Amino acid sequence: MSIAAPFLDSLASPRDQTEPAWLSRSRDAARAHFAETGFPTRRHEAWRFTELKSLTGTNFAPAPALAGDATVIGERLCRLLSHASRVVFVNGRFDADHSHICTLPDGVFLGSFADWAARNGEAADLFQRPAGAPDAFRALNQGFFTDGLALIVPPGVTLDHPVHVLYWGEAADPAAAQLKGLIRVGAGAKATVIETFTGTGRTWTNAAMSVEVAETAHLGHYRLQDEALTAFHTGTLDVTIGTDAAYDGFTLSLGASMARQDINTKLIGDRAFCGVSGVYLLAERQESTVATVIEHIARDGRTKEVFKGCLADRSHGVFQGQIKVAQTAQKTDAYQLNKTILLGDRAVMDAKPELEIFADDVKCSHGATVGDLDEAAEFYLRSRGIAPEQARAMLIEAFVVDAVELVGHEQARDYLTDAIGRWLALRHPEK
Amino acid sequence: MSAALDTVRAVADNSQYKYGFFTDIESETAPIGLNEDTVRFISAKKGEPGWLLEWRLAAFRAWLTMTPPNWAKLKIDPIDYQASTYYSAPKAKPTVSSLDEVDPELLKTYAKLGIPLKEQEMLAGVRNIAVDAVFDSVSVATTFKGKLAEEGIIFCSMGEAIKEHPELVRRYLGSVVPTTDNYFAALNAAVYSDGSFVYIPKGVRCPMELSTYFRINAANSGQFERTLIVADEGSYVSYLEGCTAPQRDENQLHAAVVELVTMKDAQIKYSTVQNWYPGDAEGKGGIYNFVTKRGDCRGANSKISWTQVETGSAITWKYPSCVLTGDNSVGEFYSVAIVNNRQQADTGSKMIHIGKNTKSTIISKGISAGRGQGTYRGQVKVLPKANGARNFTQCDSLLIGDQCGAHTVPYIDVYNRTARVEHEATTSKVSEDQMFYCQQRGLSAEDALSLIVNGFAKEVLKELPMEFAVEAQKLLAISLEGSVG
Amino acid sequence: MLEIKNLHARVGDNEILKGISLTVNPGEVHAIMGPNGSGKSTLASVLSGRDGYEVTEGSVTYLGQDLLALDADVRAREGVFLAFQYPVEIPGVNNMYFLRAAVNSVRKHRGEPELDAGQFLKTVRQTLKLLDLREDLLNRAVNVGFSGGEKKRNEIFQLALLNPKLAILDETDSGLDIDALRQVSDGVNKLRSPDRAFVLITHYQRLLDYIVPDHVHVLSQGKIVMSGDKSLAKELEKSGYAMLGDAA
Repeated sequence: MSIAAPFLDSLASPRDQTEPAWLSRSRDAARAHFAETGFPTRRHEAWRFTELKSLTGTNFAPAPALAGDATVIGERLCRLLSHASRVVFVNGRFDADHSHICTLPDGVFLGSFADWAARNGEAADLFQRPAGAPDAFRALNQGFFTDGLALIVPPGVTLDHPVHVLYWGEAADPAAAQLKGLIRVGAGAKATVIETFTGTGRTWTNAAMSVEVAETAHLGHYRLQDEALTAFHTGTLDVTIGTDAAYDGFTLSLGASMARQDINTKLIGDRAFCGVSGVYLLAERQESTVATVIEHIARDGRTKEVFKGCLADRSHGVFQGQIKVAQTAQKTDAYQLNKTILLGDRAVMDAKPELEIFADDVKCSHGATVGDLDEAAEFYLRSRGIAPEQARAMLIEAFVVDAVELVGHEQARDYLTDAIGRWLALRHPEK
Repeated sequence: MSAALDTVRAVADNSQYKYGFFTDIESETAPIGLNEDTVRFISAKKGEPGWLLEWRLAAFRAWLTMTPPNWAKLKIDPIDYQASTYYSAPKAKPTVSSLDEVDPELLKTYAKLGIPLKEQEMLAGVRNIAVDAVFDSVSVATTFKGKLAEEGIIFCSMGEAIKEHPELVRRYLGSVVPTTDNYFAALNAAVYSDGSFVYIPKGVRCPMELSTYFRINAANSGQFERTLIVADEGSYVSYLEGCTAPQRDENQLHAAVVELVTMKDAQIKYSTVQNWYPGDAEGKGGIYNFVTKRGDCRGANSKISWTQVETGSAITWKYPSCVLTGDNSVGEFYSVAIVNNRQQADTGSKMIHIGKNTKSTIISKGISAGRGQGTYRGQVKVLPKANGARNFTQCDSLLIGDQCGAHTVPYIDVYNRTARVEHEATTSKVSEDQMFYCQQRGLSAEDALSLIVNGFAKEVLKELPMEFAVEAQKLLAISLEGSVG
Repeated sequence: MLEIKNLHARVGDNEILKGISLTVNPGEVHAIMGPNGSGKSTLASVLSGRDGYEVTEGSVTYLGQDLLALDADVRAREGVFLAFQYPVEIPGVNNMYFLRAAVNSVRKHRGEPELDAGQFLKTVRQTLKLLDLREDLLNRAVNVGFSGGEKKRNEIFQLALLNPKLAILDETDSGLDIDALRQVSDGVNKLRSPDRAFVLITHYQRLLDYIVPDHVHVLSQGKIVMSGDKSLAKELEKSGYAMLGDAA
């Protein structure tokens, strides 16, 4: 028997008796799926570089309900943007005290997913999982999620201010928070969402987010994963992009001892744009995987994907990026780039950029590089009197900044740039 | 309608596969099926020493416990390993001391294939190539042996090498591709029947191109040859490999193993023009070309260079690789792979950087037409001690027609900070602008396409020895026939 | 030689040529001028047989045959040459090899013997000399890494080699500095002959200072709105295309 059963046992908590029946059925089905398939192993192609042992070897309890350290949360909130609606979750539960929701246009829902689900009848389609493959993290999320973000923007509505979501995790002993989220941007609507994952202690955040961008809609979706270095983070993001719609996504990964981001986007309408980019900065013995699958199904779609990273100390970075172009997706223009700098002598990078193309009238390209910082540039800076540490920090910043520049929202870009600046100041990356 | 777009409707018939004929020759054949007795039969036929039989049997037993690899992007009908024969040899004396003793039918076959085996014929032409001709399971003739022997070069069939140079063979056989390396390599170790053996002594630059010409003739048989090339310190050799097979409705398995070893300062250049029967337009028949090729740059400053032009076979599964053990050693892989009709190719290279300042280059050009599916799959691995390792990989795919596919799957694993690994890939269709430009200058659509495709593949074709390059250019044009309307 | 009658053509749903009529006789040089988007380049594309243009009305007769019925490569072999506004780069294909393939397919069509490498080289050298061009042009891949001027000179060089009856020059002056423009124009002037006609497509009058046309036509919104001799070009330069507002 796999390790699935003890995992299920330890994550189980008393059923919420008020939960709708369809949701309970959906949870049961997901738990059964996980019981049957367990966790993926390195024999599964999509998981061949991700080290899961530390996660699967830990005995997680459900994250306890708590108020959270108000001082720390307050301090984190200070860094948030002004004029934004703030939605705060502590250990997977909506925290109304810390949240602040601005006046919203009519028909917009912003707040707790659990609330939204309770009001809106069956939404089982939000929990669809790919058939066949083991899908442990989505299944565990479906089986045990407590709450998460729901943002519903009706057609034609523009949110003038970004929505900032803070997920705070806190636990002395290993505890798991399962976050289920939904962002739905209606036809012609426009929204910006910034998510920050952070916390303290031995938490495991397992987030599953569904995003739907309807025709001619625009969503800016920017994420900062800044968990404690003792934490685990797994995230699954499923995005569909409609006709003439644009999804502008960015993920900055800094935290967690072991992190994995799975990003799956589908361009289902003609002339859709998909931006999936990010930066990973790792140190010590951090393990971090970015796994993206971008599927072009409709014609004239455009994808821009740029992931850049720096690996210090003994960290291990993984990039597995797949762009699939179906035969129906003629005139696709897709670009993928992955560049990594190894700063530590024992740092390791595994990259697998992948193009799978079944349409002929396409323009697709990808590139990947792994290497050291440019020594000539470093020497040049030092010869102008700049200290070695500062020179390296400048070069690293310059290296990752062109990825951050892809972020289409200025405030979000500044927020992420600040986080990178803090990482650099803290790490003083040395040779 | 543009020529580039208006493709594939008229799928080519295979009348252009001009090597599809069959030679009616009396053969000695092992009973159909595969078990330990088959292995013993082959070993006994070849009069092999006991250690080699044990080596084969160990491989066979390992093979029984293994499963075929399934990670490649290939659709393979299940192979019934019990349905074919694992040894087929022309009945006339398999080893001949002079070409005059070779069965005239065989000589005719090779002449028809454009591979003259009579040395005087070759001398009369411009060719300066020594040939080992492998017909089904055995080597039927090796030319220029005498001339090569003067330089101390050994060029003979594996069967002969085991008899004449057992120590050399034993030292290197399986040292690059172990018997249990993969499913097909294990099968090959168990049942391989012949192949070529080359040894270039210290400091010798081989004065001519060496070449093996493989021909599958018999029905219901596979070909399992094994080639071993050892270049001792400071030596150089350029080696060419060609292959064809008759047109048959059933799939035939070709599971070869090639091992290359370069010692200090040595260099091997290995070129392949693979033109096995590709099957018909509907995908019926054709060779399953499942090949393990690997070179070990064992000595410092040594170099192994693979060049391949893959136009044939129903399915190609091969990844010529370099293990860069010696410091400053260099590995290169240049490939053109073309798929048309229902062909599938999953091919690429592995470069394993172990020594310091090792360098590797991968240039892959894939062309997909018809309903063909072409995949580049490659790995660049830099191990922790490979300080200063460098890799550059460029993979380009060209699509002709909207029913084909092109896929690029590189794996990059870097364990050393001082390494630099760069991978670039592009996929696009044949440019309509280029087609129109050529046509505006008077070239027909077919000539324009062939010109553009040859230009696309140029970087690789220029790595081939001159004679092969001309052959390869023609093959590319032939392989694309029927892909423009 | 060339008789265009009431030619209408469109790209997709967009009608671009809306009834063009034009007669070109051997030995004549016609300049077709007009603002951006007037249909100049579309006309060149339709005449040379590029894909993606649909002729909805009208006819084009070339040397007594229906030009529109011929494939692009057959038109080329029949002596219609297009000097491209943006000559296409073809990586890996040697310029010399390409030119010989082109010249021989034209010769074959005309029933002339194909040239072997030696004969071809001789022809090429003569042509280079005539146009005052350097030989290193030949050993590179077709247009790859050529400067703008080199590309245009390569077009004129091909024109000379292929010996067409009707040469259409599509904005050959665009992107050229004054020296390159002079060199290209000198080349064209040397290639003028009583049995060869030229159609020069240009936005600016300055090309016509170097290659003096017999006829000038002004194209606007898919129609020829004015025709005249070389003085028309001068007039246009003074008043600009804005004056077409009234004429069109």
